[in-house]
Amino acid sequence: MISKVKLSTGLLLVALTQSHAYADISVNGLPLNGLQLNGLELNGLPLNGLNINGLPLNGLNYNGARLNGLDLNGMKTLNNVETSVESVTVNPLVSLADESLAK
Amino acid sequence: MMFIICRQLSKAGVFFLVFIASIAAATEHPLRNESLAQTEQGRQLLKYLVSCALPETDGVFVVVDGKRYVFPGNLGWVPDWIDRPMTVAEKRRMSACIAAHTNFFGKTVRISVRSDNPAAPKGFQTTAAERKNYSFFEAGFFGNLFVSNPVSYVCLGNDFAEREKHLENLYRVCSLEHKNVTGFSRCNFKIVGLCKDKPFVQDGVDYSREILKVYLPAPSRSNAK
Repeated sequence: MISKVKLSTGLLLVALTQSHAYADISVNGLPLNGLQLNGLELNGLPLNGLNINGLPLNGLNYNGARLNGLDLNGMKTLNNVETSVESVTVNPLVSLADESLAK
Repeated sequence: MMFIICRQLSKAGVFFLVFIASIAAATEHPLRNESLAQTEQGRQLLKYLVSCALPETDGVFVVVDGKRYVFPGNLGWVPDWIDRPMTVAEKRRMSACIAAHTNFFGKTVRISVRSDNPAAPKGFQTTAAERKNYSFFEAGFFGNLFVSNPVSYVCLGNDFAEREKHLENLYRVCSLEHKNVTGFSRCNFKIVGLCKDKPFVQDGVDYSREILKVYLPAPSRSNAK
């Protein structure tokens, strides 16, 4: 079957995330430096391996999308990310799949 | 009266009536988890989720701020999700479908989505004309987006010199290598090699039964190897 698609990567990946603001940069009891935050790894990995929920951040800057408060269009460096992170992400698809689609 | 009308219709007309009747018969179910439906971006993703999961005879709806949104089914790849949670295999199926439908540019592109799984629903059946018009094997998509740390993989289809140019012309670049990130595609999918080499086992998980392949129109001049 032929499908018409225009789902953008930015929409997909932004939709996969849901921001939760935190007053400081300590999340889930863990400081950001070098520690994992639900898959958001900072100092532990080089920039190319920087992940949000396992997906690399690099290139996640389509459609002017902002994610986690980071302006991804700017392709921030690791240090920029470390100093500007205000939130972590959860994947809303997890809860969606763990119950039936319809009531 | 209906009999008279039908007698006067051509075969095509009768087919059209049946088609319309089948659309009218689609059942719209109330969406259980409405969180994704609260934003335009979420609804866009939801549209593709439902389109992948449910057959044409089913759909879901949700009312947000007094506005009713309907998400029709299409492919029927995970139909049982309608009334129970997804299994792990179904999560992989859905993930493959979403990845296959993802465009870098958010631009409408017609694609032919296919499965090698003999149990695939009729939504993945192709006609001879579709196979002819969409003969260029773009890529295979698989992974699991429904876990805390989503993973998405892409294996490459046709391998020929002007593949990149052809895919860029078609606005389908999710299987092309990222400009800056080695090993990942421009849509952040991990590139795992050529599909013909069957690189469907990743991190100990076998995705061979859930992978979906996308075919596109071939280049105007055939120069495939």
